[in-house]
Amino acid sequence: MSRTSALLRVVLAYTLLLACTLVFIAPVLFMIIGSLKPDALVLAEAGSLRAFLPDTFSLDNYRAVFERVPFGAYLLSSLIVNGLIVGLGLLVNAFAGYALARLRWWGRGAMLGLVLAVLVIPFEAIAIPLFYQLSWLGWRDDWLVQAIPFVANPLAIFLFYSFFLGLPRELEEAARVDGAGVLSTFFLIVLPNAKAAFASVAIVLFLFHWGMYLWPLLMTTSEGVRPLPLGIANFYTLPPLQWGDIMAFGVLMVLPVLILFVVFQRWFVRGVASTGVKG
Amino acid sequence: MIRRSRFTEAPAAWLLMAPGLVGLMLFLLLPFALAVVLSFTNLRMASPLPLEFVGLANYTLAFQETALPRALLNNLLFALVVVPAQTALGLALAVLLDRPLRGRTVFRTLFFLPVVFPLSLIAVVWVLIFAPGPDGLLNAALGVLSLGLWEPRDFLNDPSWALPAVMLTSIWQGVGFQMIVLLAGLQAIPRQLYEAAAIDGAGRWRQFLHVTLPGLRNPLIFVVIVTTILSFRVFDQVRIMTRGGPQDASNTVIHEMVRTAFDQGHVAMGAAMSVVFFVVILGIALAQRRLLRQRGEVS
Amino acid sequence: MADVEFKGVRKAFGDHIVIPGLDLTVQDAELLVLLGPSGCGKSTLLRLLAGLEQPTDGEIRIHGRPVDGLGPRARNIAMVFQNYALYPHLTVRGNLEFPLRMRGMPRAGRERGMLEAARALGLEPLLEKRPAELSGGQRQRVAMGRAIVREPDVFLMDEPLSNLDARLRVQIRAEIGALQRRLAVTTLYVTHDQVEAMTLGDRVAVMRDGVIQQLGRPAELYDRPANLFVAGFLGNPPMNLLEPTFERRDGERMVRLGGTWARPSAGIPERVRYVGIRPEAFSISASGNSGGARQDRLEIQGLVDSVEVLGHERIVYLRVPEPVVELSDGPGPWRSAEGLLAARLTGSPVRKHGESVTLTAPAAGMHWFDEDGNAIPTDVR
Repeated sequence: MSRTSALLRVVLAYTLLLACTLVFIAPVLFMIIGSLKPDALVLAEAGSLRAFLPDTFSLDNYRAVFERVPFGAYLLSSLIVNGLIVGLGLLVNAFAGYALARLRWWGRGAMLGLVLAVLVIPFEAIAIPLFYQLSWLGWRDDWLVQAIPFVANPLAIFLFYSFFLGLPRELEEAARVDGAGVLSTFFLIVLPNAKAAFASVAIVLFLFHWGMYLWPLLMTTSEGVRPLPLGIANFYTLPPLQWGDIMAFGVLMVLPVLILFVVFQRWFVRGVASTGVKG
Repeated sequence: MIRRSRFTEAPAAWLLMAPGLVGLMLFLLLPFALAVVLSFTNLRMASPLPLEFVGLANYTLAFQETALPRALLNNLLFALVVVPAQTALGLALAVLLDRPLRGRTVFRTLFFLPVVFPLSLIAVVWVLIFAPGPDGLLNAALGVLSLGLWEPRDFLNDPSWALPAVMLTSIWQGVGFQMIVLLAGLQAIPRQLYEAAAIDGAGRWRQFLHVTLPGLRNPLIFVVIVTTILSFRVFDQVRIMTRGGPQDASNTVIHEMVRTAFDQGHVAMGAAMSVVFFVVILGIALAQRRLLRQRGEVS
Repeated sequence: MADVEFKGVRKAFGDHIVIPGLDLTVQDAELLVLLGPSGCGKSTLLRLLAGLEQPTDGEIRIHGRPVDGLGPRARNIAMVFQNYALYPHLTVRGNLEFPLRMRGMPRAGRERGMLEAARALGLEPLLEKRPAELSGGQRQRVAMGRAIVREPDVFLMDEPLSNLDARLRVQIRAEIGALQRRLAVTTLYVTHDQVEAMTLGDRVAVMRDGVIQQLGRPAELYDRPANLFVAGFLGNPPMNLLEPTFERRDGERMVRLGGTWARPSAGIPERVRYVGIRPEAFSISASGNSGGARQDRLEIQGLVDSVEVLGHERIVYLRVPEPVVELSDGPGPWRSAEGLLAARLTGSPVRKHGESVTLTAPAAGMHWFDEDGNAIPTDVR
């Protein structure tokens, strides 16, 4: 192959990549810049290059986010609910995954079958009866009800199960021979060496639930316990419609995810590539 | 002789399994069973009528009198457009990035970015992009690209444009996922296969057909199945962008289910829709299993 | 005194029988090597003793106490794994202390025991390092240290040297031997390396397909292999195995070995199906001799195929007109191979390819085996 055609290929590749970048980045830029512009101009300038090259910047919209809606409360709710789901979820699902992958017990096969079977039940299919079930118990409109039903997660169990299956057995056998019981082997030897699995599963759980919309929509009524996705939907319907404020809300909402994403990019990619559930 | 108790891991195993098992039972299996049971009753929100079993009435009515058939059709259309488009784009991006280019991690990060955004936020931003009139971002962009020939329209309130608008949003959001999975698949194909094909005289295109695609079979099946399932689960975008309208043009199964059960209070009918939805998902999951099993027989 | 006893121990994984039924007694303070090819059940036997697997049938006793049904924790055994299985998240100190921690030993006692083990193995400068920072030899020592730290009743070693390079292997092999003699702890040592087995073992059990083929002191196994398998497994190059052909000529019973006719005087009984001769039993006889065998010597003619020079000695491969027998990896214990004999020679001139040579061996250097491959004692001739 000649040098010019190789060069041409590289130029072509970059052109395509940059064009794609434009498509991917434009809505995000639009949001960020919109959040810095006066409300009226967001829509008015959307059709011109001014959408991306504003002449005035201000943080007024950000102030408005905190003044017009309880942004702090939304954020706190989201953090608490996701903290509970991820924190408890890691433990509960890692426990189950370990029991299924490594221990010999009567019932193991049946339990593994159960986990694989409920893996295909989409949450949307059970949202209504679950809503009823919990309402009968009088349990609604708090943080726990948004978190607890999602702690046990068949996908997370399955991910941990596969990870533990792939872990070399010898470490655990050495611990057993050294006198550790089943539980101390798990806590003292297996857990400290399963950081990769924990990171992947944590990110999958977090990604999946940070944007959760349907369930809190059903279960919560007070603004004090509602999470960010409901906040932005609410903000969007709150007259007067002020686009600058909404964009500022969006930026604030996605910021925690972006920070996590940049810091843990490797785990994000690995976690998502290994599962593919985010939607 | 004293019978020693046999050493067993069972108590520890049940102890570890218990929290997860209880969770799955209470919050997945039980509600699922409940969905099936409720779908045969006349349960309505705040209804004075006593609870009765009504047989298959909800299923019949759901198909006759609600927007469920239209919603199913929309989901099907959604899958037929989004799955191939998103997979093809994801594959193209993956192939572009599967070469030693400077800055490819940056590109990878940028393309993957929308995947980590909450759907509700993306929906709101895209509402703005689809804004009506010549000042709307997309209208204006199309106007410039078509040298002024483009007639500005109100995408989200136009029966023929609402569903495509939701589709476009979803493709933009999800293509990074396909790309990441396929890129991982591409990188698992041994370089020697390409070299062998090149030595045998295969050009780029033939290499792609005879090395890349067969090597990507499993990741491709995986992303296609996942995207198909997600296409039937679409809810957030629809709820925020169009509320299923206009005239159910962008309605989806889950959206119709939520509207029936909560907006109209007809819980039993909503449950029936859940069951229909589950059957669809199960069908896709079974198709996946069959596809993957065929693979096992061949190799 | 018997320290570890296996009685009728059987182990099957589903339909796959690994150990069909095995009896073995290990004496107190003895180092017993389980030697065999991979898949022969030697590691399974070790894991049964450790409690990592439970036998399908039979009984295992440690210090006379039956341990079936007990988990590893209750058996007071220590094990060195092939890959060492050091805990990657703990320092050397943490690794050495772990068994003591699991015994619930108080901190002061732990520290003392840990330091004692570290000193015995020269690990003191490494205490704060993690396994990933150690060399292969150091890791091996930490694994040893973790085994000796709590004075177990039995040591189990599963191919502990297989991940080391050749020089380190020789050095640590000697250290293990010395340590075991000093501590006088009953030890079961699994390996597929015959040199390790011969140099380390007080006794060696050669295993195949879950069955002990022969149990004895290393010299016994080498000098009087009980069957073809043991004969062929020990020794490098392995014992030459020939199929004798008997025939009557002029009323005299003749035998042919490797294509060379001999008078019956080699004294080989007719029920002998295989004759084994170790490579070092051969020497080169003055060529042009009558061939065959005298009363006390055996001669075989052939052409030099290749020569491996190993410094002070050389191995000459001789091509003979008839196939010889080789151990097979597949089903059936042995098969015919091309006719190459190995002779380990010292001090004779270098032979060239194609040269005609007559090898001679003393009749006493022969091993006889019947059609099942079992040894026929040669002293009943």
